[in-house]
Amino acid sequence: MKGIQQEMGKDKLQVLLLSVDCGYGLNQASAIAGDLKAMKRQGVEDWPNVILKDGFKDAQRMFNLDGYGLSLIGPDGVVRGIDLFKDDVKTLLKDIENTKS
Amino acid sequence: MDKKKEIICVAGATTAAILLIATQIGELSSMFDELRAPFAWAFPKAHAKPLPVPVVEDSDVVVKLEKSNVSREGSRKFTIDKLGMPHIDLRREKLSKGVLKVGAEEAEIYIPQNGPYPLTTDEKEYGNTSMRISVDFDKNGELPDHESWVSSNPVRIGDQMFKVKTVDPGGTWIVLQKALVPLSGLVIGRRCPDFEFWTTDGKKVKLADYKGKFLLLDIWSMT
Repeated sequence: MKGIQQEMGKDKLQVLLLSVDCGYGLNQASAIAGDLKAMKRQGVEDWPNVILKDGFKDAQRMFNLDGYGLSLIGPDGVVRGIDLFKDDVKTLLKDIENTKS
Repeated sequence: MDKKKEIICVAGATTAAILLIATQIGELSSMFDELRAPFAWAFPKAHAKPLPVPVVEDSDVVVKLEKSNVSREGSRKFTIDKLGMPHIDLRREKLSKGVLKVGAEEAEIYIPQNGPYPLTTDEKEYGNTSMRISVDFDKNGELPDHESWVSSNPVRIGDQMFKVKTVDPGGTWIVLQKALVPLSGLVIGRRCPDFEFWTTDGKKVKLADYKGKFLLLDIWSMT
């Protein structure tokens, strides 16, 4: 996803990480520390990360998402895709750009 | 007298024997139930009889349901039996369909043809075990996971939230109540619900901050 963001530009594509670690019994402090380590390894420590205190229960309640994956929201706030893999995101973004032009 | 005593003794012994056998059958029967539990799909329960369509309050909506040809992936319920064997139910489940008007639009909703229809989740089980209701707003006959909603939470149908109030045990109607809660849930082609979070580095983020940009929501964990 870092590559896609670099291609598009940070001003055009943002990522918001929603961590469900606390849902596996981790306390918040451990989740924050562990998440930061993982993000540093991936080179994305500057991405905003949110800890969902009830893990997937919160994800399901707020977004009706009960699994890992990516969801794309358009610049107008409209949902463009749900349960996407990285390649799906690339394709979807291309399709949206093509539709515009 | 001896003969009378004999008859009483034999009757008593016979009764005791019958009771003992019945108890053993009962125990065997419950053992049998435990052993066959992972294969419950092969022993379909008798369908519950439909109840009459109820009269409801103004804030409630009754949606009549009819059997359809549409199916979806089952609940993928994960269980571990007494022998410690894991089981995942992956069968496709047949669905009943109802049509609900939300504003000027019509939504097709689907629930399993056969019950039970739990409206609360069993916290002891893995995942949410309440009935899943699918909303096919794009009416393409496909019901991916993200078009399914657990009935223990409010359900988004279009841009309105509903609570699942009751379901006919026979699966022929469902009562939905308009829920006065903020919009939640992602629906393709619809507005993302507003959110506001604190990030781990102490900043507040909300949906409005991302106006004019594409936003990827990434559900993840380090584990």
